[in-house]
Amino acid sequence: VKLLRLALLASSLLQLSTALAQTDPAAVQWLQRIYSATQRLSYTGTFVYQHDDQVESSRITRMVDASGPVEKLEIMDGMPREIIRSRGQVVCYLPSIMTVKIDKQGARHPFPLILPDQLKDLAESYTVRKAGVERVAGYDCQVIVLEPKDTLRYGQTLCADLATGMLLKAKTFNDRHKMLETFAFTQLKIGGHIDREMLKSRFAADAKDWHVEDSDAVPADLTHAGWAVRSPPPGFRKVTEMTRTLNGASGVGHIVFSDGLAAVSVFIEPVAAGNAARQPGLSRQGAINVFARRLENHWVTVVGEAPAQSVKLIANTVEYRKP
Amino acid sequence: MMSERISMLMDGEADESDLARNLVLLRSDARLRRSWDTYHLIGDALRGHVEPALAARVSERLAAEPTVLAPRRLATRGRIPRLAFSAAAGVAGVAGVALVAWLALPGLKSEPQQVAATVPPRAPTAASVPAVTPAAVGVDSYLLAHQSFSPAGAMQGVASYVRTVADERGGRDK
Repeated sequence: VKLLRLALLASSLLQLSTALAQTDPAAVQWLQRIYSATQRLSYTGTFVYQHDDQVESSRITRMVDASGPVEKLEIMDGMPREIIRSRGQVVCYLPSIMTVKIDKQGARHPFPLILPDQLKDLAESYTVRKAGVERVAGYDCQVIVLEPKDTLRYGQTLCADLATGMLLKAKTFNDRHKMLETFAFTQLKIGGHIDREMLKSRFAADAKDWHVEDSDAVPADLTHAGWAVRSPPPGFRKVTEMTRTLNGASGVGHIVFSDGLAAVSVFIEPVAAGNAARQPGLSRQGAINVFARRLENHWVTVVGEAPAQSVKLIANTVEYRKP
Repeated sequence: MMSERISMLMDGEADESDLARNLVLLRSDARLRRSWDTYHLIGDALRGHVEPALAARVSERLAAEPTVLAPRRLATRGRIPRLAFSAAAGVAGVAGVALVAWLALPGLKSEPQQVAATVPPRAPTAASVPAVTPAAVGVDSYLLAHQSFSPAGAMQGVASYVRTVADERGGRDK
């Protein structure tokens, strides 16, 4: 009898833990709200980006009008740097090296919409649940926790404005719940009048004489060239592939994998004079892991907001077969 | 004491009975074999016998299989001069491997997981969680190309691009 009772207790506990671990549909709706707010709202604010032992504060301005959204990001600490995103292109102004980097996003949707497929993928790899209500930058916000179901991805804790769905805080944590990076607004004004002038780069005039690096990304089928990732880790699907210009080298292969929340990029380029001295191995910044290896006289560089284990796993399944 | 055995073996100082026993050990113990390889590599590096091409090949393999300290077998070489080898064998395991990284594999300065692999794990997770270094300067272009595909980043709007523009003066290198 005692054993039976124990068994019953164990099975009910198991059911309880399964129920607790299940994704809450209301929490998934919150994710949709966040994505929609990201695309819809105009705002100005200041946020901090904290990773490793560094804290950087930035000013952000976003305006949506008839011609679409324009966003500007100004880094306030260290060397001034600016990023402007509009009409499917991202322009980085880097005055310290007198360089403008341009990433045109081509036919792809400039501001990624969340798709039902993406949410389905996400719910397969993460448990999504609502937690309490917190206060960030003067706004009451709903906490949403995305807990990974395995150690191949990081978890996230989000906090979104109760009234608008605007994301006010995002923390990324690893499997031991150690915080890897945090984005958090410290000041924010949603809506109101925003002068178009505020969205221009103060470097725009000077930058006419600067070095320009254009990504020239074009869709491509890299399997035709012999490159493939044979077995991406569970939950990761190939999203797109293309070639682009990177660090002065043209025709660099770029394959993107995603589990619905995190993305991992695989870059493939020939070993050349400019990159022969590069370092293979692992490096990290906040929640981003980078792993580089040489294969068939090419560099395979894998970059993603995923654990070292995952970027390495993907890097090591890259294969080349003579087409 | 294991390293001493290898040291004696490599220097041809082991006597008949020790030699036989050590060879059996070497055959059965993968860790010992790795030490053997490592010490050879250190010796070669100290004597400048490691050519750039070899270093590249070694680092390629290290990058692909971070738990493997060095290629399993190196081409047979002549007897290692006493002085050079002793200098290498004298340093502790960690330092010895670090030396390899510096001399033979300049590319691996930023890949401490080999070093981690040689140290007996102090914490249960030390072996499974590879040590990593801050992202190197020059990685920004990859981050920029990657960023627009991140669904998590898309939730944050342009704010997530803060990752892609590290201070190019090298603040991240410190």
